[in-house]
Amino acid sequence: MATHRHTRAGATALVLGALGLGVAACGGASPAGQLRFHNQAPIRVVNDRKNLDKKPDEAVFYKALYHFDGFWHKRIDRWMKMPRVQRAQSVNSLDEVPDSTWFTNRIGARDLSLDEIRSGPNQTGTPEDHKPWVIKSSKVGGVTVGFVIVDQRGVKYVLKFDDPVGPEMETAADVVLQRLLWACGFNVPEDYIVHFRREDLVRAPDASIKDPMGNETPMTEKFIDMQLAKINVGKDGSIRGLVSQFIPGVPIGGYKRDGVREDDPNDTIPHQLRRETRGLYAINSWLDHTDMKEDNTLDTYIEDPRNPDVHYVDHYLIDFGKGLGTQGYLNQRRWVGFTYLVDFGQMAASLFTLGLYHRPWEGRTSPDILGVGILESEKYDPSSWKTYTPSYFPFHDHDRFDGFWGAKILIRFTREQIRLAVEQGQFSDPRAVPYLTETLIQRQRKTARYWFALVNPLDRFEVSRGDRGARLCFEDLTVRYKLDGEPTHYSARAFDYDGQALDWTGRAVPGPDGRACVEGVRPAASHDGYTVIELRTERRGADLPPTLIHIAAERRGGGRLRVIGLRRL
Amino acid sequence: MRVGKALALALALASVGPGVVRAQQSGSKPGASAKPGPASGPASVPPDGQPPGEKPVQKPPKREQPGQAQAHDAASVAGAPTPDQARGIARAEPDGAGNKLRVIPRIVLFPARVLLAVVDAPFRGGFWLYERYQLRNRFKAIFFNDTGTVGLYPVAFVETGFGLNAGLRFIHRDLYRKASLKARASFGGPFQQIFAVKLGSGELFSDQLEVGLEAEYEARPKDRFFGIGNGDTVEAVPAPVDPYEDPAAVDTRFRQTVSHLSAGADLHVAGPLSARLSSALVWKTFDQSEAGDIPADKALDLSYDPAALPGFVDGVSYSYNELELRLDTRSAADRYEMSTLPSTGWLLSGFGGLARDFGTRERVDYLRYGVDLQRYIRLAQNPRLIALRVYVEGVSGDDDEIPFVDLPRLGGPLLLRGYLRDRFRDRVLGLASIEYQFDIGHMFTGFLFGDAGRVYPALSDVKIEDIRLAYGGGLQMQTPKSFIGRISVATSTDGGLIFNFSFDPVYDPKARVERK
Repeated sequence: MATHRHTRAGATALVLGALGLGVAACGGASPAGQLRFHNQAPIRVVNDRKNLDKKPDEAVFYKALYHFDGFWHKRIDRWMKMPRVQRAQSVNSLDEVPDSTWFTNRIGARDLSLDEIRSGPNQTGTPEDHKPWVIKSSKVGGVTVGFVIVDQRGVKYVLKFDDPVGPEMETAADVVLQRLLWACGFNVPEDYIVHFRREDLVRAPDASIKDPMGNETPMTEKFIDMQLAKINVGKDGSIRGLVSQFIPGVPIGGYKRDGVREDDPNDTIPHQLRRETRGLYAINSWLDHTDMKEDNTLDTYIEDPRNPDVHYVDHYLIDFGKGLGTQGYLNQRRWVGFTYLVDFGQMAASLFTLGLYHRPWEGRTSPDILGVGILESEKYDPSSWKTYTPSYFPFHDHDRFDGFWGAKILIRFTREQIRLAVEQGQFSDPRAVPYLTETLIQRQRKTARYWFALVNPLDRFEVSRGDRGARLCFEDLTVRYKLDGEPTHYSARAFDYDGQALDWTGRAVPGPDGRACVEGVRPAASHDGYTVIELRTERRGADLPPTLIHIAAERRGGGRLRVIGLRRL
Repeated sequence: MRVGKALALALALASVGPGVVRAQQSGSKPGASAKPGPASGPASVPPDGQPPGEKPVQKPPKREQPGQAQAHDAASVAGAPTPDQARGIARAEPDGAGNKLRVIPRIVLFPARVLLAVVDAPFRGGFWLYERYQLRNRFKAIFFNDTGTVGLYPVAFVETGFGLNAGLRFIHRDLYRKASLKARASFGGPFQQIFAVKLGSGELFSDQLEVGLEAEYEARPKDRFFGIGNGDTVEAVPAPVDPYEDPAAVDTRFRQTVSHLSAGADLHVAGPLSARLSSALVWKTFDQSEAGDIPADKALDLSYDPAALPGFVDGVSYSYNELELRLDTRSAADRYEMSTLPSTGWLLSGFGGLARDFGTRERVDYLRYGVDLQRYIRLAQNPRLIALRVYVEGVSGDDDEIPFVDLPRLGGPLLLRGYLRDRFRDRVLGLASIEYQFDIGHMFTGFLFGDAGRVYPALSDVKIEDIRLAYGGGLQMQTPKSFIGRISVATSTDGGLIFNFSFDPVYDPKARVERK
């Protein structure tokens, strides 16, 4: 198992940690650590919706420079800068991401209904019932065929098509990922697969062709026909496409891969330190969404839905058509997801071994199923999964806690939910949905198993007072999702606010549902009963890194005990 | 062509795909918008079919359905803490020793960071300029028409030992049914001047038959001549020799001009079987290289008697007609391997052609024939493969009726690598080659090769003796759509180190007419 990335990082951490331990030992540091939380309920939502009088400047994406920096300049410079290793900052005291303009807790916080998975963020409804569509302009760039259209309700979309090499592939991948990423909690646009005919497209009198230099020329019917000649059209004249509804607000470019948007006072946490951007790595690896780059994000300056005088910035993920192995299939590159476009290490290994080096992606192939790319679960390795280019820095900076966060979200999708999301791809080959569902489930379990082994995968802590003292209950996600059937034991000890050990230890084993409780905790006498409980998990004869759960009594409400924070080690 | 490939390479490396400016593209990204709310747009199509008028701007839809999740807005989160306060930390964990120790390498590496910034600045600036001012599109806008089918643009390439060649190329890609017209004029490098016009039929007749017409004039000021035969290289000879009598090989240069009018027809017969019929009218003149073009001791007449070289004194003019039959099953093994890097299949090509003068200069009358046999054996995925090749080419006729430049030649980046271009020439050549190719990453392939071959005075003289052996390796670059180039370093049993940079694939047989 190629756990090299985190093994290597772990070895470094071990050395540095040993040094730190030595220092700590000299100072008599407590296993409870020095971190202490305010005695307050964990924050579930933050306020990054303060009014911005002025629209932030549009961030221009220079693709070549972006990738030069990503492949080479900034990548090396970032390493030489030797920045502090930091955990994600955009979290609350439970190491969870509160709701914000970046993220809304959905499946990670509650059970989603099948209807919610089916519709995802789509509320406006498909434009299929509102034809004809009026073409306003061509899609800028001209690399792929596309139009900006308006339906009969006046709703504006980008209309895109599948690459003829992979019919149904990109349109399907887009909506499947759109549903799943929305369910995870990310902001995504409303995307619909649509079917139409040539006569459903009406050219606006002022329709224009836009070139990358900003020039506009009048669009002709011939141009439309020439564009449509480049895509797959059914024998009956039907055309399959994807419409992506324009996001509310004024687009101001993608969000930077590092740092903050300087002219947005609400944007206070550097993006490479955000849990959402870093933890997305695990989710993207599950979905093989390799096309992660600044250009596939979008910030919009939006008017508050209830107060037109208030404006702020919303942050979106967009463009998911390269997921589910589509990028590898369309680009005819077996290695996508396993190595970068240019990976000097892999190239050197192949060169100096004269091709004898067996690369991990070798042997991969795509199933012969219409609409399905090169997506498989056997060779997939969540520890070393890679995006198409190394340019997206939050994925370099992610740590095991970010991965755990992402894995914790993705493992909550049930088989039915995954199948339903896949069905939204509207595959014509009946083998596609079962194949993709099964593959995603295998990848889901592999991803979760990997990340859950790097931390103590305990979650959903609850504390209550009992006759014999306090009772701390929790859920072991590895057991809960049946990722490892080996016997598991938990041991606990407690410390007061100052880190002094309390006269209590506890032991427990999980139930079949992964739930376990340690009983009889005697909260400390000082600081509102502030107590740090160290929970250890022993599985396969080894201890996982402990978790420190901080509990305290509410000052109001009868002194009820509550979990006020936790620290995973 | 070469600049086109070089440009493609540069762009591929630079932009990792087509470059676009985000600011201009944002209106086209899925989910992007130009104004708050669904854009204003038409309500319905009037009966006359004209696009409808604009609708009032709608309110943006809410992104969470009430009752299902938090539908936050500015008012509902007004009392919440800011993002950086969400952690609720009363006392932070002190920085670990690891982080504290990072200050040491941070200081040590600071000069390197400055150096990196300085070194990379021109590149970063170049990339910025490239996209900020859309240089690629501007280049196209300046040199091509709107549809990209007609263009006039500069070309250039550099060949080691010959220098820079630069010029202009005109192209019309779609005269009628994809028929094309190409014209080129360039100067320098191995050519003092080169002018060419080529007309291709495209799909004018059918997609099974492509016909081409070409006219070209080249002035080549310093082509190599090492005598005739398989002789060893010597520094000099005491007096000019007859190369047909004395096999001494001296590195000399001469000047030649080549003009030809040619027509070719490629017919896809069936499956992998195709035929190529070529006809050409050729005019060639020869002379000593000019003093400024070569070192004084490289002059041909210092080592060889020009009068003994058929055609050298008066030049030649002749017609050449050739028929080639080709069975080509070479292909990539699966869709994840580039079609430009075949890993399986055979090539069997046989050709025969007749050259006859039209009586204005020295007599020319000879038959050219040959066989090219290639076999690709796939060893492993991605691919690793062995390419085997046997190539035989000969001419038949009286010595004095075969221009010395038309003798089959060995040496150079394609045939018998490890020797200088045109190192050997005689009436018959035989070459066997083996090459191991291995994928090393996106677009790059490594290779190791061994070539064995020699020239002979006649087919009856063919023997496995005094074979010249060359071997080496290098890197090849290709895209899924086209071969870009290969760089190799090679040597031979006769010593020396040869660096080659070729824009032509080694195992792709070229028409004799094109090869000149």
